[in-house]
Amino acid sequence: MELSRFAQLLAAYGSHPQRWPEAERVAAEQLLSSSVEAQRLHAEERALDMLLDAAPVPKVPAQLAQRIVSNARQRKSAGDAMQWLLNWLWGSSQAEHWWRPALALGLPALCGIALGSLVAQQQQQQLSEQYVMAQLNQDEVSSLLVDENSEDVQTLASEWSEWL
Amino acid sequence: MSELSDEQLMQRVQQGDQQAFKTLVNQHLAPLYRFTRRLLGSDSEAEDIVQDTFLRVWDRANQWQAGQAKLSTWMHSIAHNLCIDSHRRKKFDTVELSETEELSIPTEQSDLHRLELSDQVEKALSVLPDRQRSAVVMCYYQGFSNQEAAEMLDINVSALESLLARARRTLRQQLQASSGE
Repeated sequence: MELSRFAQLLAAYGSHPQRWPEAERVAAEQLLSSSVEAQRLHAEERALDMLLDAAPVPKVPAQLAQRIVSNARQRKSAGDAMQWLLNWLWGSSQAEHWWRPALALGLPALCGIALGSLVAQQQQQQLSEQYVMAQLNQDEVSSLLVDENSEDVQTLASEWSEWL
Repeated sequence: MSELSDEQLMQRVQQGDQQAFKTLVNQHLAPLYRFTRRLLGSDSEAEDIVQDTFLRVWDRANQWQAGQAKLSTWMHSIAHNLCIDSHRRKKFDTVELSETEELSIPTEQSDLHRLELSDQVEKALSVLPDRQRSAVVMCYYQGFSNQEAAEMLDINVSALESLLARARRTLRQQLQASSGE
């Protein structure tokens, strides 16, 4: 190994041989044992590695594993319910692949039609009642308006004749 | 269950075996938590990311194929991607550093001094750009080979070496600056 490559290895991977690429490790170690310059470069990098080795080792929170497993279990329950629904809708035999989706689609459609016709029937009945009430009210109002209108028409006619 | 290989465990997890998943969590939680904690610098964020990572493993167990990648590499890749997403939402400030004198290594390390030192190293790591920090954590602290780390970062080995070399330069400057304070 050339000294320049050794320097590159140190600059990237540091002084610990176990971090050096496996394919170059033996050659690098041989150079280190034989070259004074390689030893000098190695010592320089070793200082930094000793500091980096002092980095704290994070402690795993006590309940974290339990929380993860319990979340996965909840997710599985929700997934199982969805799977059951899909299995029910799709069925397991060739015949079921036809009638179950058809039933799944047809049943809500039938319910919708039945509900729609029921609502329409009720609305029709309400409209009829409102119409009858309106007719009755209109008769009363128009009888009152007739008198008022006749007076208004007479006043208007007299005003016009005066103006003309 | 704990004596099963990763491949055997994953086969069971792929079939929805919760006991196998529990074993998997117990075996891989510590390295994954340390990895995310070092990348993010926050306990609560690291917890969230690790939880999300394992839930993705549970949901997408079928995506892992034994011949393609080691299980730990696959899980670290998921965690790393989640960390990147988290970082994009919350960018770290980088610090301008100056070339300074030689590093001084303390010969006597009292507990207090060791705490101060580990705090300085953690701070120095936190100011590295995201990809440099990822490379350092993968290669130095998680023990991944250069090939594995390059694969996780989606770069070639020489690009990884360049990232690591720049990271070491920055770390050296940062630690020199903090030891001079």
